[in-house]
Formats: sequence, C-alpha cells, structure tokens
Amino acid sequence: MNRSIWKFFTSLRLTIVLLGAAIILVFVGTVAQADEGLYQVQDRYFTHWYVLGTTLWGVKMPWFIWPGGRLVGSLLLVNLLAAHIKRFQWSTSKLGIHLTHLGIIILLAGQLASDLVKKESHMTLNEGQTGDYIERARSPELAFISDKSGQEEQVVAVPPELIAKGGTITDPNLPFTVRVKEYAGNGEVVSHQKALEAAVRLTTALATVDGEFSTPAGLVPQAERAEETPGRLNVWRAALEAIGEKEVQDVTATVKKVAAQPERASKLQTELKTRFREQMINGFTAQGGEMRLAAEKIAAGESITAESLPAASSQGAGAHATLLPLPEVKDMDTRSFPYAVLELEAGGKSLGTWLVSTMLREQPVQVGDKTVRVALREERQYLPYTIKLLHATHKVYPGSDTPKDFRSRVLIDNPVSKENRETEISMNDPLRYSGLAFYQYQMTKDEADRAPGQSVLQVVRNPSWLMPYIGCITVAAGMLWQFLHHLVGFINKRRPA
Amino acid sequence: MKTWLSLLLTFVCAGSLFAQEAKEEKFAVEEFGKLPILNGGRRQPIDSLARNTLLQLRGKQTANYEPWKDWYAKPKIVSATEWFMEVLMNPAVGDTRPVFRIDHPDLKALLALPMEKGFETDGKHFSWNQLQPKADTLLKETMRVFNEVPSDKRNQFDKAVINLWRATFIYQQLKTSLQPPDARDWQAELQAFMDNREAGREAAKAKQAGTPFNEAALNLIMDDASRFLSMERYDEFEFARKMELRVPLFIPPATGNIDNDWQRTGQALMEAVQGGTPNPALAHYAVIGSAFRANDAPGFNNAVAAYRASLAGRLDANLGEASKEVLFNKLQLFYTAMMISICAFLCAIVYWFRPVDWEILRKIAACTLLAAVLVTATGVIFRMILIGRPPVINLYSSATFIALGAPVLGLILEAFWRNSIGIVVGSVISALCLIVAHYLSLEKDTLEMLRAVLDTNFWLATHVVIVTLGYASTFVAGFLGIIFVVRGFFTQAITPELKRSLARMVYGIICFATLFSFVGTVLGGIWADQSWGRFWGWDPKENGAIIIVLWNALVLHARWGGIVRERGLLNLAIVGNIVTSWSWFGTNMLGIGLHSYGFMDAAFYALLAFDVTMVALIIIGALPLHLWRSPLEGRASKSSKSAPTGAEPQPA
Repeated sequence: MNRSIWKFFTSLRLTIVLLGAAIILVFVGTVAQADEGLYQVQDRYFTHWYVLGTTLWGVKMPWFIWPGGRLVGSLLLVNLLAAHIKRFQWSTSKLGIHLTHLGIIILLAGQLASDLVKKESHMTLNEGQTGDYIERARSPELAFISDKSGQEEQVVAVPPELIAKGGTITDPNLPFTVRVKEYAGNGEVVSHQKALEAAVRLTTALATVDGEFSTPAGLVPQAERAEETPGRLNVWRAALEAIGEKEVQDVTATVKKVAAQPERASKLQTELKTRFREQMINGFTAQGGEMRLAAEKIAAGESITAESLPAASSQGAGAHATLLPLPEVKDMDTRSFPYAVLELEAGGKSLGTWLVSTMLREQPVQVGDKTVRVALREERQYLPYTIKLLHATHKVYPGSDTPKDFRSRVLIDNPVSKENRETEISMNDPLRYSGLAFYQYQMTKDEADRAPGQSVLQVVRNPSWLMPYIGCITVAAGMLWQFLHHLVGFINKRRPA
Repeated sequence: MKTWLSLLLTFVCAGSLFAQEAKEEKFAVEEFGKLPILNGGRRQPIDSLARNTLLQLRGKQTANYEPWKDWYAKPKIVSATEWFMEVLMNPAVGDTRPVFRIDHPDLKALLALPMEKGFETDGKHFSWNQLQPKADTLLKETMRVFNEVPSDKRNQFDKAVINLWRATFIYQQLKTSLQPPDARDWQAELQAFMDNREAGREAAKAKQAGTPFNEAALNLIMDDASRFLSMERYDEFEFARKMELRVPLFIPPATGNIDNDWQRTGQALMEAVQGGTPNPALAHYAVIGSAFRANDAPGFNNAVAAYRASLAGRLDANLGEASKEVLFNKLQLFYTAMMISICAFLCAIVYWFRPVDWEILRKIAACTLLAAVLVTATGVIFRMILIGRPPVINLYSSATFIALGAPVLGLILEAFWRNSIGIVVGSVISALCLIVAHYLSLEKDTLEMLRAVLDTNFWLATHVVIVTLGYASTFVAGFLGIIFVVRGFFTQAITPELKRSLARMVYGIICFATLFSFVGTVLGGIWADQSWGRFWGWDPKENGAIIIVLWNALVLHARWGGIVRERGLLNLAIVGNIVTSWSWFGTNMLGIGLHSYGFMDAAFYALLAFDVTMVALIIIGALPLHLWRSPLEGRASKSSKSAPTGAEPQPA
C-alpha cells in the first residue's frame, strides 16, 4: 500500500498529468478573466484548491470541475521532492537537472509563501501631506476615534471578520457597547435631499410627457419630429402596433391615418404616454442612486416626501438617508461600498442606531461629555514613521495622452532611527523600507485629471520577495549547465575520431 | 491567396512609386518629407506621419488617385508625402482624392456610396468629398456604437463605422494641423493677421476699458482668433481624445530644443493672438504653403530649404533623426526581407525534388536565407538606432524579431544537417512573421513611445528579448514537426533515419526553448515585482508565457519518461505552435477594447485558422503508420544510408 503511494508520488506520469492540468487551468483561468475579472479569477482558480464551473467566451460551463492552482502546485511540489529523494544521484551530468528542479521547488514554495504572507495596501498622499498609515483596500474596519491630549488620537478599530460576525462589541476605551445590526459588502447611501430633488425632476419630466400627448392635433407634427430620432421612432411604432396598426414602417403616414379617427387617436395618445413614461422611469432607474430611488417610488405610485423615505438609522447621517443594497462588485474598475448599521448602548439603554459606510465620513457620537467619532473605513495600519509627499510628477509625452513618467519625491521621517531623508519613488524603482516596499502607482488619465498633485503608492509587505530571484537564478544556472553539457557532448561526438 | 495578391500589389505599387519619384523633380517632396515634427510624443519626419496616416486610411503607404484603373492602365500613384502635402496645404484638392477605403457593403449603403466599380470609382476607395454629404449620418452612427454597444459586443458593421469615423477625423485633424483649412493664400492671411495683431489687441483692451477703440482692427483679430480656435477644437474633441487622437505638433520651439515645447499650429497662433512673440516657424510654413498652392515649385523648394536652414544648429538632432527615419521608411527592409525569405523557401522546396543532383540549389537557398537574415537584422538594428531602445518594444517588433531569430536557428540546423529542412523552416517562419508584422503596421505608428511602466531599457532588453526568443524557438520546433508530418504522410521522403534526426533537432530546440521561455518568464515576474510589487499577477500575458514553459516542460518530461517516442515528440512539437501562437497573439485578443480596431479581429480568425490547421496536422500525424507514404515502420536497411539523405549530420 505504502509502496504504491510512494510509486504514485514519484512517477513521471504524475508530473506530466500535473503539467497538463496546470496548462488547462491557466488557459481557462486566462480566458475566464474576460467574464469574471482578474481578482475573482485569482480567488476562484489560482489560489484555490479546486475550480467549480467556469464561463468561457460568454458560455457558461457549470460542469467544469478542475483542480485549482493550490492543488496542482502542491502536488507538483510533492511530486518533485519525492522524485528527487528517490532518484537522486550525484554526477556532473545530472547536476544541471538537480539544480533546475531545486530552483523550481524554490519558486513554487516562494509563490505559495507569498500567497500566504503577502499583504497589499496603499497610501494616498497629496503634495505636502504627511502620511503615517497605510490602508488596505477591500477590507473595511470599524473605527472609533476619540481625541486624546494634544495632537494624539485614540483609535479603537474592529477588523472586518469581527464586524461580519455581528453580535456585541465592547472595549474599555469606549463609553458604549456596539451591537452590529446589519453588515453587507455593498450598498449606496442616498441622501433624502438628493432623492427629493431627483423626484421633482422626474415628476416634471413625466408631466412634460403627459402634456405632450394631450391634444390630438399635436400627433402628426410630433410623429414628424420623431422621425429624426430612431429611438423615439421605435416607441411610436410599438404604440401604433398596440392599437392594431399593421403598417408601421412609415410612421408619419400611419399617424396621419389614425389622427383622422378621434377615438383611435386618443387611444394612441394613451399608448404613447404609457410607453414614454415607462421609458423615462427606466432611464432614471438605470442611473442608480437617488434617481433609482425616486423612480422606484414614483413607479409604485407612492408620493415622495422627507417623511415617506425610509431612514437607514435613527441617528447620524443615516437619519437623513436611505440605503440601497447592491450586489458586491468583483471586477477591477468599480468599487464596492460596504456598510453597517450599529446600535450603540450606554448605561443599559439604547442611544439609537447609526449608519456607517465607506461612502460616509466620520460621524460624532455624543455620550455625556465625551465625543467619539465613528466611521467605517479602509483598514489602517499605522507606521512607526511618517512619509511626506514633497512633489508628485505625472508626465505625458508632448502632444499625446500617453503617460511618460510617474514619480514621487518623499521625505521619510523616522523618530526611532532619527532618519530624516528625502528619496524618490518611480515606476520600476520602488522604495524598500522597514520590510515594506512602496511602489509608484500609474494613474489613469482620468484619475490624474481628477486629483492633480496626488500620488498613490502601493505598499506591499512580502517577506518572501527574494525567493523568486533565488529560484530563477538556480533554474537558469541548472538549465545552462545541462545545455552546455549536451552541447559539448554533441560536438565531441561529431568530431571525427 | 488574397494576402499574397495584395502583397504582390503593394510590391508593384512600391516599385512604381520609385519610378514616379525619379520623374518628379518639380517639388522637393522628399525634402519636405524630411522636416521634423512631433507626433504621439515622438520626434519623427513628416514622411512617417504621412505613411502611417495612409496606412490607417487605406492600408497602403502610397496614395492611388485613380484606383478604378487596373495596374496595367497605369493609375496615378503618388508617394505618401506628396499626397500629404495636398492635405496640409491645399485641402480643397486633397478632398477629391479617393483615399478612404471602405469595404463593408452596409456602410457604403449608409453613406450612399457607389457599391460597384463604375465611372471613376472602384467601389472601394472614396474621397472626403464623397463622404462629406453623409458626415452627420456617420457621426450619429459612431455615437450610437460608442455609447450603446459595449466594445466586445460590436459587430463587423459597428467596427467598420468606428474605423471610418476615426479615419475621417484623423483626416480633418491633419487638414487643420499646418494652416486653417479654409486658407486661400495663407502667407498673405498670416501677414495680415501679424500686421493687425498689435492694433487689434489694443482695440480689444480699449473696448474692455470702455474707451474708444478701432472697430475694424478688433473685428479682424476676432475673426482670426475664432479661426485659430476652430483649429484647436480638433485637438480637444472629447470623443476623439478617448481614442487618443491628437493633432500633431508641427511648430518647433522658438528657442531651445526641448520636446515639451513643441506646439500645434493652432496653439502657436493662439499664443500670438494673446500677445506672445509669434513663432518664426509659422511664417516659414506659410511661405511653403502659399508657394505650394500657387504651384510655384522653385519658391516651394527655396522656402523648404530656408526653413531647414532656420532649424539647423539648434534642432540638428531632430533634423538628423528625421532624415534617418525617412531613409528607413524608404528602404522597406522588412518588406524586402520577406520577399527574399519567400525566394529562399521556394529554392529549398524545389531542392527536395532531387536532393542529390541539385545540391547547388540548397546552397543558393541557404545563401538567400542568409541574405534575408542580414536584411532583417539591418532593419531591426536600424529601428533600435531610431528609437534608442532594445529590439522588441511592441507586438510589431516581436514579429520582426521572431522573423530574425527563427531563420538564424534554421541556418544553424542547416549547418549541421544539410538537408534544407532548416532553410524551409527558417524561411517559412520568417516570411509569415513579416507578413504579420506588415498587418500590424497598419494599426499605428510602430515606433511608438512607451508607457511609463514599460519605459526601462534593461527589462525590455532582457525579459522581452528572451521571451521572444522562446517564441521563436518553439515555432522552429513546431514547424520541424509540420515538415515531418507533411513529408512523411504525403511523400516518401522521410526515412527512419531522417525521422530520428528530426526528432533530435526538435528535442534540442525544445530544450533551448524551455530555457529561454522559462528565464524570460521569470525575468518578467521580477520586472513585475520591481514595478508593481508582485512577482506573479496571473494577467493574460504572463499566463501565456507560463503556458509555453509548462508545455515545453511537459514535452520534455514525456520524452524522458518514454511516454512518447520520436513520432509523438514531433507531433507534440506541432501542439507547441498552437500554444505559442495563443500566447503571442491570443492573449492580446482577450480584452478587445477601445484600442483594438480592424486588424485584431481579422487576426483572430487567422489565428483560429492557423490553430485548426495545426490540429488537422496533428490528427494526420497520429494516423496509423500504414497510411503514411513514407516507410517509417521497421528499421531501414543500412544500404539506404549510402545515399546522402541528409539524415545524419554531415561532417563539417
């Protein structure tokens, strides 16, 4: 039994099967990126043990079951180690092969290690701003901030796992206990004021539609005008069909015919009204946010007043806002906005509920004479030193929008080591400092236009960052050795004896 | 077939272009083409802009003014610069030239264009004057496609619409890039503006201050300003900026030689309106333009020389680079290399019919391929000099680099085995890659500037070059496999000895390919670690590279484990072609977005056809041996070795 397992793990066939499985996995994982986005593919295919279902070229394939990156990688690692233990023999002709495989072991192990220990965060600075913390995107924390003496702040931070668990949170530094009533990955906070404004706009627009189709005399000229916009024309055609017209290609002619019959003309007007109203409401709904809220309410026939809109919480910003839950987004370009509803209790009685969201700023909570600010924000890690952005450079090539150069001149101020020095971070040239690496992020044109003078640094903590370098050198040396060994052999053989 | 035909046509066109240019002594077209400008952030000669524009408009580097005539009827074909001069300086005539190529029938119908060959039309090429009446329709359709149809859902018609709109917009931009498009005598008009400038500015100031002012002077300068502003509008059109269409910078800095100080003509004129010292180049170009319009060749030539003289010294670097690039454009090295490769291929194939008697043919083929390699190498090095960068910076240059690497490998194989297999493989890959390069050059300026993240010569020189060598060698192995299957199945040429030596070649090359693709891939990872902080990010291009490594490793292990033998190895090598073509091209097609136009779609089908062919070959390669014409079964008798079949390496 043991023997056959050993044989299985040392066999070359297993290597080949695993390599084949890896090729298919990488291929599928690449094509699927078009549908699922890079992050989700990483989670579902490469840093996972198995893959269940996929979508290739827009075709859903729920039957696709395949070993994931973790499984293939670990098996390859075991296979490699076992095969070497079994077959290892010391000779110059095998040295290259051993080195190559050793290097691959280092690479695989390094990748696995960095999967496990690597942490990515970022630091966003405006020119002249000093930063003493880094933030992790896609990982919100619940923060309670109170002022201490002088410049200092006291922060109680609740990590995302704890928020997600719900229940009650207490801390000796907090004058209240926190009960998480609701927590979700994405939701839009819509202020009531904006929703009311949107409602006014929609009501006006709908009234215009109603007015437009109130007099039968207007029908023919309206149809003529509609001929100019294909989108409107289609609505007219649909309306004509709905009142039983067969020939709808020439809209103006048909409308002229219908307008001659008063009864059908009014029918047509009703049809047009309904259809254009529907179109308007759908247009508002599609825009999301306050537009969607207003459109949904109006479509349901409800009136919109500050009182009729549901409040997300009883206190704070949520008292004047409605929450629209959204599905979490997975692709790279759009963000999710997590939110939570908290109930705060002090002295055995409830202070009310608060809505916190990454869309909202810090909100003050008054308990006795103490003020605590509460916020849901990207998880922060404070650094024992500060980094000040002195100057951000974003250059494009003259006469084009192609980015040429992104760099940041920063000042590191470390009170412990008494360091106070300037340095430069640019693309392809990161700053490695205190176990962290700071990389210049290349902003898109839109981002750079929106925030001039801003610089985003990606911050990575990866203690295993050197492993790929070592692995690569080992493999290259091994392959080169083997290659030269063969070449020498080949040339010797060709030399006439 | 169509490719070959069109390439042949290009050749004919290029040939007749040279003949034409010799006769054309009136205007110093070439001198004008050598004037330096800045476009897409890159210093270049007007000639390059003219050629690249024509490539985008009609897929050729020359303009055919009478496309309805057959080639033997000698249609009037002019050089890119000559056509460009009309666009820049006499757009009223330029508007009559049929330079927009439209193939999609629905698009022609939309714009009410003639569908078939007829009087003074070939039903494919149209002038701006023919398109202009329906320009609004085109814009409306473009807006629809752009706003309503996501880029991956666009059909052929949608893409044709966007392509044509893009071409017409580029054309409009160029018409405004040297003088106002409605100028009649630009020199006089510019002079009038200059003369009135001070008075006009005074009048404007006076009007603002509420004091009496010279109304005539104010009206004049206001008219000029609105004219110049309308030129600038072509640079700011938001929709076009999304497609990265910007007006080229024709006006060099008035002092110094910093690239960032180059200006658009409209920009320089607006500065003059606002009180800045007018840039002297404006006047030079105005003289050139008016002389051209007045058909005054000596005046034009003198003005061009005077402008060049005014740039000499301060902008020597720009002038020198521009002249070099014009020479490079004119030489068409990659095109020549492709032709030579095809000749080498034909010689090598013919040699196979009578291998023993026609040894001389093999030698000719080898020398021809060597010549092709030298020409390609010259082209690659010339490009490196022009851009001051390592050989591979984009997809285009990776194609030319594979076209250099593969035949070198082929020649090395040939030196050992002397059976013309190396020549065939090398020349086929070289010719195919150069054809691919030709089509890629239709997309955009191939000497483009690099985005910030790619702007590092060290990694370009190591990672990119090594990965590309990996592609080249995997292709060589794959094409060796193809030769085995085709010759083995359809002819009697493959003996067991030859099979063995083919397998040895493939084995060696796959080892080589593994080394290169592995080292290249890992270097790419290190580069990513240096610039983004992650060694591996699973992005499509990285995945493509790792798949080649994994595939090569799989083949080698299958061979070592005895799971495949010689025929299996050769068949697996053909699979390598699919893998490599997908990594090289397929990964660029995943997120077909804003920046992919025409070619990538056509390339998608070409890639599919290539892969299907490979699959067919693999199936043939796996058919039972008794169906093969070559006697591969059993051991061939020793006596067959007496004839030099090229199966074993010949002593050098």
